[in-house]
Amino acid sequence: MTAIQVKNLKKHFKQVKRKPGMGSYIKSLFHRDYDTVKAVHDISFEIKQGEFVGFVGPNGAGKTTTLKMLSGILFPTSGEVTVAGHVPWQREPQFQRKFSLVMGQKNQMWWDLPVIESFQFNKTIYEIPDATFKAQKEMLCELLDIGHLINNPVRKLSLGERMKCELATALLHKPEILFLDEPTIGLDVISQKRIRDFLAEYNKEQGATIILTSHYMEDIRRLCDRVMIIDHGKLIYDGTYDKLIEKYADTKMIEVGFHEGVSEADLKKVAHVISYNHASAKLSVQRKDITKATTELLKLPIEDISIQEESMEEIVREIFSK
Amino acid sequence: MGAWVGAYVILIEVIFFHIDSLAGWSKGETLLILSFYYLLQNLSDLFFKDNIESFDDTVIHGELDFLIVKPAPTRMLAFFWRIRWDQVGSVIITLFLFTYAFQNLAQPLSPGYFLIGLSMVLVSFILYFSLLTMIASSTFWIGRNNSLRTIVFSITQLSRYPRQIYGKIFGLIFSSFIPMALLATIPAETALAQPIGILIAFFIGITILFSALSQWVWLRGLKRYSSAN
Repeated sequence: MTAIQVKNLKKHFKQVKRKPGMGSYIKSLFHRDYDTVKAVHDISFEIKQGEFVGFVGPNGAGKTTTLKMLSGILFPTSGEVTVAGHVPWQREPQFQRKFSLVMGQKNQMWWDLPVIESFQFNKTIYEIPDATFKAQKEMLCELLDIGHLINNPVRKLSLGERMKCELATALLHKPEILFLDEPTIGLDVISQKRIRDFLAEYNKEQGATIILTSHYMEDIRRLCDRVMIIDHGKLIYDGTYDKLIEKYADTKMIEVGFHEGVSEADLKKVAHVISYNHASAKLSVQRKDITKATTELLKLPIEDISIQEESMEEIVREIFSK
Repeated sequence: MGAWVGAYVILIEVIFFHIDSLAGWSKGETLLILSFYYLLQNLSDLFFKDNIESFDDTVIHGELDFLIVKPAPTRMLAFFWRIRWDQVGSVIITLFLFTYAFQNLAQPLSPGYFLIGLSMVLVSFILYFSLLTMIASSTFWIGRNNSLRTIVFSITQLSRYPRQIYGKIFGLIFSSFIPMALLATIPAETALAQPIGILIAFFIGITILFSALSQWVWLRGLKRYSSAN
């Protein structure tokens, strides 16, 4: 069943173009020149119910603008969108009860009040029955380990703690669709992992449809069945993670460890050397040459060897550099 | 707030030292207008004034995002988001002002008419809210509005005095197009049991009209909302 359908969606912003200086300012009072910024330009896709989709792209690619149109914050310039059977920008309360939006860089809880106050506010606004609220609150407090935090004012929480509470606040009404805009930004590795584990669990248990944007490719790799890559407002890839690797990662990475003298020159004869020190090295090898390169390497006095796919960061960097 | 009230009471005392009536209003009646004016200010300070004055920041910083996605009227969430409970104390000063006004009236007020006057403050509250939210909604078109606080303050001053002082042309403007002059005068006239049945109907009618107009302006503005990164 389709949860989200997007057809030829566009969002163009008109921006005032003004040169610096007082003269230009006075001139702009009478006549203004505008630039059109094509934040999202003619994208189309469908997302099935329960899918976990990664939305990837550099800064300013159009990821957040797309999420804002899907959640009804922004009106599009043109195009059609249905989310859970509703047109988002009509902002019907029945639709708004079906989804949640979490933005890693913005806070939606009351800054000076304890977290529980924001929970209570959402309970009222989303008309959550007492029993559901109690059960959902307990479940989220346990999964996110925030039971000891909810009576603290939001401003006293660390970034990681706040983000876990943000997620809990957003999920109290059991949304069937979840828009996550960089929920792990600025978090330490442990907090990132905890949130990642929680999202995987939530997607599996609740069958929620999730769109995730993140600059941490590890988030995308571990969580998303499907990856969409957007650049300059256009969708340039939409498919599985595996196919992305197949299509764009024509090399693999070999890590070798050695206990006695293997020179960099020896390794260069076999493959492209990414990094080298007296005990280990990282090599990049064409996918088709991997067997031959491994055979050659095993002739050297090496202690261990591992073959890995290129990191997601590398692949995306590769795509955007083309 | 106490100092402001004190200053205005002194101003009225000085004016009435030289004259017996101001556009047909005695000192006690003028003080009654001032009391209703401050009651309206107390209510707006408590519920929405801060939110309106900082609305340009809310829009420019994209803080409206999380209010738009909630299943509740965005306009109400945006303008009633922070309630200033610390303003409750100001009501006590207004009560003192009412007492002082009563002492200066030639005849005591009928409790029934006074209650109707108080209920008119609720109509004033809706009208005042509608006017100010309409001004605040201009942020959607012009972006940063550094004058928002000044505009709100200046326009509010118009409701402090009897509507009759504005004469014909300005009286029409401040009673119909920018109906600030009605906000405190109508509750006071009602409390004083002056025969203004048609005027009350006009006051309620214009409140409904401005309420609908401000909602329309708000919805048009919200379509232009471009959020922030």
